[in-house]
Amino acid sequence: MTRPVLEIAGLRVAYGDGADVLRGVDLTIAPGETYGLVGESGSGKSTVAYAVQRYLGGGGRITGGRILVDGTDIGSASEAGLRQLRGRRMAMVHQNPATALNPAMRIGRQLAETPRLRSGEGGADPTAAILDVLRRVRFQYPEQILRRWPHQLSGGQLQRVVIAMALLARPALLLLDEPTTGLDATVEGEVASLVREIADQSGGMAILYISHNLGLIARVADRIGVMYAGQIVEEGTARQVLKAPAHPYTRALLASLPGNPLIPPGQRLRTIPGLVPRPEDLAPGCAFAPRCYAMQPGLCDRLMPLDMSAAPGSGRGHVARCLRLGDAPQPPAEAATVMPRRRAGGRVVDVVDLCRSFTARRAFGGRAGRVVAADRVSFAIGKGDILSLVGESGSGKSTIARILTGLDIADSGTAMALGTDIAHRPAETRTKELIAAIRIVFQNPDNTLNPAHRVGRILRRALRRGGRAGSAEEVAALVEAVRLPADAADRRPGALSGGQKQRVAIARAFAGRADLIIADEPVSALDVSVQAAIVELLRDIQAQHGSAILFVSHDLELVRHISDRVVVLYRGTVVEQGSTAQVFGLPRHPYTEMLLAAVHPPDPDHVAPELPACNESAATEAPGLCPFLPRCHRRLPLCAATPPPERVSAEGHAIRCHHAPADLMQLLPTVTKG
Amino acid sequence: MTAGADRTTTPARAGFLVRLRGSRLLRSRSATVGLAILVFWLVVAIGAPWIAPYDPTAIDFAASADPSPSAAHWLGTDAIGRDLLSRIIFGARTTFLVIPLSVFSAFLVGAIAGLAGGWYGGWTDTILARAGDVMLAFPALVLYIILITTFGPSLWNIVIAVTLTYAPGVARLMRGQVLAVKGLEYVLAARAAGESPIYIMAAEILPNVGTPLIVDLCLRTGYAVILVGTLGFLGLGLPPPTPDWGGMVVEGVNLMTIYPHIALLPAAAVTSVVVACNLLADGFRETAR
Amino acid sequence: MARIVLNRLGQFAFILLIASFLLFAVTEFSPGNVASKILGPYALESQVRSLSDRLGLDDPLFTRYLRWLGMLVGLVPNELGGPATGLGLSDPRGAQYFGNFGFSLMQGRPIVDVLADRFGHTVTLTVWAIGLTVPISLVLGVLAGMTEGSALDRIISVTTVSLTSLPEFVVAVLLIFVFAASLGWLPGTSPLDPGDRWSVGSQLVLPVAVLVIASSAYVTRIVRSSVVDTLAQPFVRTARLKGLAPMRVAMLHVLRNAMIAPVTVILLQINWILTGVVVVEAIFAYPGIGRLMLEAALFGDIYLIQALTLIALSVAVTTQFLGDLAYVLLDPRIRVA
Ligand code: SF4
Ligand code: SF4
Repeated sequence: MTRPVLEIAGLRVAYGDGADVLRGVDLTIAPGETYGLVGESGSGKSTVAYAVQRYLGGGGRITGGRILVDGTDIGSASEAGLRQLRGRRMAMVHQNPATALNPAMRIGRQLAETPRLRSGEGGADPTAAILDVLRRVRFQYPEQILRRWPHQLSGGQLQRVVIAMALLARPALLLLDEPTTGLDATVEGEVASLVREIADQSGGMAILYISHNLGLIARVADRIGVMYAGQIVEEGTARQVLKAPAHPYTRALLASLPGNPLIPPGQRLRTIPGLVPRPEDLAPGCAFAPRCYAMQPGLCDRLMPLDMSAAPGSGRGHVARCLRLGDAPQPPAEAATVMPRRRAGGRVVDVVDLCRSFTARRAFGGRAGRVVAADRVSFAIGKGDILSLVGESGSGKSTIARILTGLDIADSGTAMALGTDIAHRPAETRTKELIAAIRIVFQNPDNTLNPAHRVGRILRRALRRGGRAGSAEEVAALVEAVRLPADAADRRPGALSGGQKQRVAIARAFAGRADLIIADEPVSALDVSVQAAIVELLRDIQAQHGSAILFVSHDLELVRHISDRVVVLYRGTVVEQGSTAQVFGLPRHPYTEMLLAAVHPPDPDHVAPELPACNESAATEAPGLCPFLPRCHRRLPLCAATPPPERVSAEGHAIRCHHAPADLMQLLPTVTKG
Repeated sequence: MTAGADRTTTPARAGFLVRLRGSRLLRSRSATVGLAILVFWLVVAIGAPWIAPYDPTAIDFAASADPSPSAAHWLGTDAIGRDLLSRIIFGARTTFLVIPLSVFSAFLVGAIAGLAGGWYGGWTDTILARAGDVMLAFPALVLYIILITTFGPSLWNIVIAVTLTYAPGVARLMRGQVLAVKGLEYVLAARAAGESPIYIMAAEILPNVGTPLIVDLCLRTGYAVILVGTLGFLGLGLPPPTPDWGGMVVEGVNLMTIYPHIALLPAAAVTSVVVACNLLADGFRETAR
Repeated sequence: MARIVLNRLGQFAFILLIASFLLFAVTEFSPGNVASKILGPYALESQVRSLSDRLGLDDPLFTRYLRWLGMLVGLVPNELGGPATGLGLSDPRGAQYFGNFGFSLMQGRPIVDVLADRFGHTVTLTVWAIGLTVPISLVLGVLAGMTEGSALDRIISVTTVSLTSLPEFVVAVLLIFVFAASLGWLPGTSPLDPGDRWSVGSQLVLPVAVLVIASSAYVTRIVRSSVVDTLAQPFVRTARLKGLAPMRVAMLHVLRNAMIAPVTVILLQINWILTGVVVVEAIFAYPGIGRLMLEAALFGDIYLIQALTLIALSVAVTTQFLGDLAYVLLDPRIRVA
């Protein structure tokens, strides 16, 4: 066996005087291997990457264990030695590409720094090599990119530049820390397939790919390590870990995903109770015990450190850190089924031809352009229904949510609710009734509650606005309804976890009669293991109240799982809408096709369909034409001439495209991976 | 560990009143020292008539021959024989009357303008910002000089000058804070709940923009002490014989070679107040972390 | 980019116009006031009347403001000169020329002449002060910021924080006490008389030192915190993890970005130094326009005050404009749309 490129043994790291955030991590990556490290926030997965480069900010230090990169001990290397390693043997790609590049230096110059390191200032001109690498990361016109400033590129382009920068170091070890977080799903898929391609062609480069997204990991990794609370709890090949998970945490996590094939759409998601623990709360023994469905008192809570052991019945190299490996059952099915909903007929909101555009301004009064957020958008939400708005960032889905809530007003069009047109009525001018009837749950749990107020005060105020008395009993009932501990009312938001804050936000939304709840990406900022519980909570309360939900999301699996109807938006235009089965079935609008192609289940055998590439610069945008034209892979000559018609089937499935539905029944052939 | 033992996130920007009540402020050494100095001078200013050994304007001809500290005059006298200790004690009154008045007025005007500009945006914001730019073009001292040329020196002119020169800066800070908070979900939630702008500004925004504002208040109080001292020093302060620390320094400068204490002691008094303000600002900054 | 610059230029011209109107409105607040200020406290009622008529002091404020502007640019004659007023004021340049600020009542001379005597001295003082402040604070600020938390940083930070707590007049008094009164190395006043036993150079040392100490302490702090902020940026991490030498990271990645904020502050500091100049000139009896302003204020010489304030306003607005310009030039995010 060749020497591993990265070898980590018993790594422990602590920040300041705090408890260890890494509690003994062992990990090896062989040349040419791609290792996927999965974990939720706080699991310590990013700390591993920084420790490998010995670049722990915030008073972090290695308190135990050893890291060898290419045989060099990182812990004892000199500063100069480390620099040698960083520029030549390892390179890293970070989470947010927008801040990873120097804003005051052209891309070309920043890229040239790495090859210059190797050749010295007077060395050969690195331009050819740079152009070559830029082509490898799929830039069609790399010469143009060299002269650009970072702020002139999109997020996906920037991340490809950062990857190119890393590749220019020709590293033996490439570290990628959540490289696609914050990018749109389609771009995310592109970056992931690029990483896979690089891995396949690299000839011996080892890759450590860190992510919280099991689908992405399945797509890129050969081997997977699952992290929980500062330890790797399960490790094996991608197929072993994802297809036959041994550790109860991995099993529960996979089972809780909305794409889980065992749980048909509409059924209850499997939830994991509790919260991701903090390092200082951990005792020896199993860190997952408080949340584990297979926890055995007297066995799992004994105060002893746990070791990795081989997963029985699985192949070589599949190990997990659990005392019940042999006899742990599969996660139990949820006891309760989805509550029956009253779908009484009739509509809560009827949106017709809604238009909204903004003037984009640059700093210092620079030039302005028009951004269309909604262009003749029409849809209706039935009483008790769940309707999802899907689309990438910039599709206008949040703008529509804001208009319905009264945080913004439409330029034209109507939205009828409770017999009034609310499209032009900001919240300040709405009646109490109207306000209580349409409530919103926001995306970011950290900002959704005022940090200066106690939960009790927030809920009391919401109850009063909803026309109730706001008594202590009512507050307590609300706290209970969202399954928060009774003392939560006395706490301030700072003392709550993300999931708990989101529960308070849900309680706030349901404080009145709530005919329509607008849920703007309510779980996308939460840890994977708590998402399912929040979604189910939302559905339960909705069923009790008989409310309708407008669910804004980019998570198509989740949308498919919970919605009755789906509206697909692209740049403010509805390109497709219909029942969930219609939108996720065929015929399919080219944009929906692209979105669905980017969905990758946590299955290493899934073949990602690669749509035929389209020459982006060949088509120009023009008002009135199909907004999807510049990115469309099914473009027709007609598309550049006239706006597409909206065709509505007898069953109410609407598609806005020049292709006849029959053409769109046929999915394009997929390009098989590797 | 149970589900009740939560992973908590740090209260990154909880309201400043919260932290004051928790007396975390007093755990900061610089804040404690700064506060102590300010409280000391405040007590001195309020109790001046009872604490001061002499009338600050009474002249002791015998002492004027040798103004050095003596048993009768602990800190000595000034050149014409007025007790220096008493004058410094009464000087505190001037400082602690002019400064709080002017800084309070500057913050009131600035905070309201900043809140309004940040919240309403559009024309309100543009007009307020331009007005601020115009005021910022006048250096504080120059503005005051113009005012006294026309209206003569008075307490209110100092208050107006300080207000006009400091309010634009306060407004900018406040506006930035409001803009940072305005788009946050909890403010949107309040708007969506149909809360009135006044309620939102008072209950949702103000408690969360307090810390930077308080820090700025401390710093600006320090600057104001410097400015008022400077005015006194230049002979533009309150009309004599009100004892005024800045004025006392200038009276002593000519005797610097022989009796340096006449200038240095009041100079030290001014400096101690400025240092206290800066320490307090540091303390607030620390606790905000 | 040219559009951004023109846009800002227009804005600042507008600000200057409004500010000068305010200045005029405040100084000539009450019409009677102006005439009696010109004539002094012993003037007769009838004299005040006839002067007011002659100068049009009873006209509406805005008319008088326009006339004043017109006089400034040489379109409207100054009626105060010549034998007709009986004040004995005369201007060899005539009543109408560009830059006509009118007469200084205190000195009984055209303001242009008064300024000519004093202006150069103040320029010398400020040029020295700024010329020393900028390099000193850049070096100290960058050193402290780059070595955040080190002993060097702590020394620089504590010193600068303490110095910013000291009013300039206190700094001046202390310096005079040590270097003039106690050691006798330098003069305690700087009248710049040619016959003085101290050379002009030695007379400049203390005034310049006071300005430099006060302003460089402040600028150093700004530079330091900007460097510290920039160091915490992810792109600096990228540069370091690329394996670049620390020096290259510092020069190319940190400093370029860390200088954007302080440049504006340094330019605004010029404005501040002008205020400091009044204090310093007063203390050291330095014959510049700062002391002139003070004398004018105490005398009630409104025309001189107007002229000097207008100069101060122009400097303030120009530096604000230059600050914005520097920002646009340094930050490609604004420059390149
Ligand atoms: S050791 Fe026990 S508590 Fe921990 S994962 Fe295994 S079964 Fe669950
Ligand atoms: S109308 Fe044309 S460009 Fe638009 S989606 Fe259909 S095929 Fe593509």
